[in-house]
Amino acid sequence: MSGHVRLAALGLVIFALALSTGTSVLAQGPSPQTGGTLVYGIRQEPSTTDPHGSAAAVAQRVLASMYDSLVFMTPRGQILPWLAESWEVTPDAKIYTFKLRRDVKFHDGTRFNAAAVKFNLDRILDPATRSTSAISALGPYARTEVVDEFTARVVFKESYAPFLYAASTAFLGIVSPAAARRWGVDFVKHPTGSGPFKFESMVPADNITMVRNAEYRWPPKGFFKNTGPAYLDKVIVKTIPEASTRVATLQNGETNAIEPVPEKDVASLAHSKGYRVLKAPYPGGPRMVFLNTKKFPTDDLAVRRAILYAFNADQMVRTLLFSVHTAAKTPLTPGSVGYDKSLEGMYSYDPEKAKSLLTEAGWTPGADGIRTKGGRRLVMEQHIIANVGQEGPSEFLQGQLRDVGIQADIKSLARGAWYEGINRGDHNLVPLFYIYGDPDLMRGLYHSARIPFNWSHVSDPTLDRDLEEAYRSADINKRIPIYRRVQRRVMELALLLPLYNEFNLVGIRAEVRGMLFDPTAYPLFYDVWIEKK
Amino acid sequence: MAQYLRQRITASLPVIVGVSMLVFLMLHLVPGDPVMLLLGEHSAVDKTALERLRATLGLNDPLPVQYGRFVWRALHGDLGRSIRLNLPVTELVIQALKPTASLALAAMALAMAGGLLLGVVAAVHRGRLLDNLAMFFGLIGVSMPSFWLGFLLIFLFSVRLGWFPAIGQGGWNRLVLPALALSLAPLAVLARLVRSSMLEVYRQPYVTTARAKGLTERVVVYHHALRNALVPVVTLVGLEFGRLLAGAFVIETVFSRVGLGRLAITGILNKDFPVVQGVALLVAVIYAGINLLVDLSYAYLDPRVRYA
Repeated sequence: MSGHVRLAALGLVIFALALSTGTSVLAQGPSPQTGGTLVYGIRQEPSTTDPHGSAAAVAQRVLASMYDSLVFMTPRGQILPWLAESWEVTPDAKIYTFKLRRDVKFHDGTRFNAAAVKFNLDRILDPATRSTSAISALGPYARTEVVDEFTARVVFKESYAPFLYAASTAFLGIVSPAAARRWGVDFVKHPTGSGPFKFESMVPADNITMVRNAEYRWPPKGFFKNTGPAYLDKVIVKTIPEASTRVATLQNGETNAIEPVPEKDVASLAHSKGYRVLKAPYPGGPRMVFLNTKKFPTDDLAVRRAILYAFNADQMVRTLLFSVHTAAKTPLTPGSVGYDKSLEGMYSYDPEKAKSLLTEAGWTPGADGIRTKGGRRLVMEQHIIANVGQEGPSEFLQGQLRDVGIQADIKSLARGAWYEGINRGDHNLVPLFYIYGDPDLMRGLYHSARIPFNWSHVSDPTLDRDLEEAYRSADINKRIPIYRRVQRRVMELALLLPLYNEFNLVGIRAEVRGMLFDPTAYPLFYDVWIEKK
Repeated sequence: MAQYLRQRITASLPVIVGVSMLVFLMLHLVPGDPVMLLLGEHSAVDKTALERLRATLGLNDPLPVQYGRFVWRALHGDLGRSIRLNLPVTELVIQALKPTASLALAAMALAMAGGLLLGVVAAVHRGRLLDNLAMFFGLIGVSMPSFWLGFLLIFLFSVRLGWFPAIGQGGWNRLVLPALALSLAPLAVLARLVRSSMLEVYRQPYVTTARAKGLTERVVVYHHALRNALVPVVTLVGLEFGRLLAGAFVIETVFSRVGLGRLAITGILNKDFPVVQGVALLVAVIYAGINLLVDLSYAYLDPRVRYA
């Protein structure tokens, strides 16, 4: 055991960058009251109630209430004990040993133990589970060994440093093995975990309803106020696709919380009596545009760098986004582990610099203002998904690029066709938003092995080497300097254009108290209570 | 009659099979990979995991094999499971059918009542103020987008006055606003048709005869003129019903109602083949059924029509 790094469960501060003001809202004042229902209106339907199934990110809103995970990660990147009381990680980040709580019961009354951990992780690999997100979160998983009834050892085929983060997400939430065996493919209709809320009912496309788990005594230690059963009697997560309707239901009381609040409504809601807008910063990548390094004319570094200089993120945030979000300047958002503030000034808005870069590279303005070189016009394609709000930023970018002599046509496609095109590399510019609580997300975006998911289509040996090195170390203090190198390299190669740092905008009625957010900016309902007048 | 019914139902079968084949082909011709689409906008996913899932779902098989599997299962009453939700399509479709049916029927009832009233009033007062008002209302009805009307109704009756809930299904009070929003367009179309059809009938000799016999104007209008004016109207109602199902998607989204329209469109956008096929099949059956009902109603309205 001497070679193992013993990690004190409490107090392991991975990253303690102060969050910007107004980002985390804690309940203050009166003490919590029990009872009441939270009706939470949400844009997209949670796709599944099975954390290991084909869960999209939106499903976390319900999964995080019904299931517990081995560990918990705070928005500041601190890992806290949850179903695991403590853990040890080998320095090469290949073997994780978890000491488990002994008092945890699933909603069906069965007991949680090491065999349950093994069953869960193995279940994710079973093709019948149809896993997408969970199987990715599991990385290079090899097996789980049941050391004793309450000790589980998770072994990976190779180093996997982001595992504690992955284990904290709802995708690796622990289901009741008895229920999973009993219901098989119909587990989605009978989801059974050990979380603070139990499944009650579900109407597809409409709502998922959960009720308080009266026996709950095992929340993550040191994050929530509450230590016993949840305050709310009931949580109804209701799908309301239309933004205006969502706001209307908050106003007429059919919901008491909605997500997201449209940017244009944030100021009016925040200033009306009886409502509040909570802002939680998304970690990971900002809203950004990838520049395809393999397709003309963005294969020219001068063109890519000119694009970064020609874009005025501050102006876009002011005019298009009502100053609700903040201008992005680097490959990670400010709250993310590994954020490098020193990169913020690297490409300050400077259209003259953009023009001179282009001129130096041989791109001279033509009669209509669009530059040409060797008879080829400086024309590129932006590929966007139709009707999901990408039109605004794309048109804004189009206008700014036009000012320096670049024509950036917009190709608006249905999501399916869009995916196919960008995986083939048809695009020059493509927007992406990537929520992830560990800087390893950059391996997904910039490592050559990840083409075509690497939408810059970049293969750079320096980047590959650094990303692999960072991924193999369990020590975050060793990883962070490497990730800073990676970010600098990414900006030097101008692989992406950062647009803005997005916040999850949750509108609540004033009587809703105590809403907290997980590190991925998703709401947590365990501490929520309704103030009775 | 029974023979006619048998013939008509037999003739509907190729239509339904044709629809299912067309929908299947169209879905597969549109680019996009359902497995990629499962992931949503922001996700970190492993390539090999996706490939395995594709194989599990049978998406790598040749199209005829996939279609054959669909038909074979459908014949056994199994429409498969949704790729996205992993729930049986039959359950999803049945769950969505009821709210859509009540919405469409309520909207159609409103449209017919309102359309008949406006049309008759306009025809009776031809060229006068009431006629112009009714037709002006009709013009607004056909021109106003239903989603916009939906938002207006929500804002006025739900947020401001608090009379009706804005979202959901179940209970008549949740049906009022969406049915109103959905009914306005067919109401306007029907009003215009009833008016012109009535005016046409007014010129017929039997109306003059009825008046000459000394019948009251009320009996002339409602018994002699309106009944005969209804034949083209009923045809239109049948056609409008199809449009109503299409319009229901917009309204279902605005009012966050569960329904076939929303189920279909979410299915299409996510390339959830089994769901779209299930909805298409059901809608084809419903549409064929409505057309049959329309044809049968001619016999009731016009004694000259007999089916044998």
